[in-house]
Amino acid sequence: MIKIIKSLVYPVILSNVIFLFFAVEIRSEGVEMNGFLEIDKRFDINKGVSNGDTYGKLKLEAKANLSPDIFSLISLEFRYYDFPVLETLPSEGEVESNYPVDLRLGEAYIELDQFIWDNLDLKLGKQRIAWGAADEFNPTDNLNPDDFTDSLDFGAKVPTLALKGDYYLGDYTITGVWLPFFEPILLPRGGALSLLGQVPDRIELPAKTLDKGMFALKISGMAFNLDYSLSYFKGFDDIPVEFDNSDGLEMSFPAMQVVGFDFAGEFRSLGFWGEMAMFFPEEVKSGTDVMLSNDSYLKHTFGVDYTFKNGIYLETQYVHGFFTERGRGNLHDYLIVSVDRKFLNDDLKLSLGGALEVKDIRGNIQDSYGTGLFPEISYRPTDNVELTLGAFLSDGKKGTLFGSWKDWDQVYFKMKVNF
Amino acid sequence: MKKLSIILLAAALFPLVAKSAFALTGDEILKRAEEAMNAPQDRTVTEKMVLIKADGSEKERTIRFYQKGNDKRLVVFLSPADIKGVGFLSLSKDRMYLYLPAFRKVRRIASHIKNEDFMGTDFSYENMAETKYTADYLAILQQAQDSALEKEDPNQYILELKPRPGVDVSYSRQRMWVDKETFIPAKTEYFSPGGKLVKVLTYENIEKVDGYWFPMKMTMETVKTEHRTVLEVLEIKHDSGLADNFFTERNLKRQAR
Repeated sequence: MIKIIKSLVYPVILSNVIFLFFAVEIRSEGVEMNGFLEIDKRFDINKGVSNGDTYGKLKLEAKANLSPDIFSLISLEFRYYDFPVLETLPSEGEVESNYPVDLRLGEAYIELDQFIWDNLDLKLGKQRIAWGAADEFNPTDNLNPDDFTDSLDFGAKVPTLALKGDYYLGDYTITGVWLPFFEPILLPRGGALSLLGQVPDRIELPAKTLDKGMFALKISGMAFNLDYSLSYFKGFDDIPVEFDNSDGLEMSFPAMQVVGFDFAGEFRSLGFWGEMAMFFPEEVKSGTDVMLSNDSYLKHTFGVDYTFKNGIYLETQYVHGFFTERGRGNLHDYLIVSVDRKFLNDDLKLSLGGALEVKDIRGNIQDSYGTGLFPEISYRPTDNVELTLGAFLSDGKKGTLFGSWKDWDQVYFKMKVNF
Repeated sequence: MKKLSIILLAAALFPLVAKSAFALTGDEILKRAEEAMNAPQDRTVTEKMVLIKADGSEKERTIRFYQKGNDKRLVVFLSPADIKGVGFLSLSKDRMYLYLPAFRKVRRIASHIKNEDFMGTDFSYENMAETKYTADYLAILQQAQDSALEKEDPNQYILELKPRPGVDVSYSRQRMWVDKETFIPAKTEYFSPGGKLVKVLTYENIEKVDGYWFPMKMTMETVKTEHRTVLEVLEIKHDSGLADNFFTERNLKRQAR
């Protein structure tokens, strides 16, 4: 069966790639090329500025409207890391280790609007499917795995292969998604230990069979000037959990079902939103130890935002359960506040974000809290160019998320050029 | 002789009586202006948008603006690259959406943003959204208060707009000049809640296209910074049959791609 799926899906992506780049040759006016180059220098201030890392990212995106109802897009991302620290001149075989690079396919999909019926849109290929009404902390957004490869690209997700259908019925939209294969979380270079707490010797991926495919359903609508959606997801957790330690550490990805609800609206011009997701995980044992209980647990986010007459924008979110947290009793509470103000017709933006984490809100808070501070200045000297100076500062007690990051305080400077 | 006197008196008084009978009130003129701006079934305009700083330096954008009736608006940025594909959908004063292509997500935005600059321009979100002058403002014809104004500018009505009681709008008052022939506004001054003049919008090159009057150039100036945003029409279409379901999240994403 897997061969059949591969035979159906891979040609779509391949034909996408071939078509778009072929189209560039034959009909350049019909294909648009866009992208950006971003270079940033990050100074680990706990270790001194000499340990600054350099990250580079080049994204290329080609898209084409093949007809009014057919659209295709493909994006490629090229990343390189650090300046090489050379002791001798590198030979050809050492180039990769001295100049590490990543090249990855971002999205590659075809959209077929009004497919058979006027009210049906289909989207097939590697794609980002963003669900949820909250800002960045979306417990209902489980279709794409988390992308933790860049710590400053918070909330990033990996586009994955999927078939998505949207059916529009008046004020309602019914969305169905089928993801034939599971894809796991992406970790930063050498970052398994910091995120998983241990480095697995092996991981076991869900079998690539039809019955292990993932699917999701969502119904969106509007009532009393409130946008809302109800969703259901059946698939796998993208972060592995230990299931065998008898012959080295082995980790697997627990199956889970998620029932979600989100809403967004406004009250007297105050914006508000909320998102709740009830997780139903499968039990995972390592020997006789229960590593993940099958008890259901609820993650949720509630937020408000407001712009004051002087232009200051304030956003506050309460989050119960971070991306990496799971299991009843293991979810921390976070209060996240951000304030920003734009000047010079949006060319200059000052932002200050802060977060307070409480590991055990019913216990001794003084011994279980963490804090984060995220100041940032960004400036656009001209169109398509953005310069950013910011910092990521954290501190916290043992066992807190911010406490685990306290040795990673960073000051960063980014330059981004869009084209 | 008595009959003749009555006829002469009636003839002498007729212009005055007729003038008061046929004169429009401020609210009626405002309604006519609103109808003139929203006259077509729908309108699609591609516009060059130039942002000009006080020192004369310029930035250029291209936008496509769709409107239907006095409440449905959809705006998409076509250039430059860093904001290309950003889309704005307004369905009513308290139902607005922003599409940011980098996140592949439509986000609802609350009306607290209405007074903010729209994507760094001098137009506010309120300016870009619905045009419902009569629902939000009461208009007083200034010439009726001061006849000297009529001699100063005989071709334009001058209206003083005050927010209707209980209506939440960004400005404490507006002063609007309306062309007597086309009923298209020629200029609008916007005053802050403190009474200061904050913005001035001028309409130029008013042309009849497809049977509808429309200003081919609009300039919004922020008085304090002397920053201006000029909108010039590159292409305009009327009554192309945009359905109500054109103004949806589905189509916002579609137009933005």
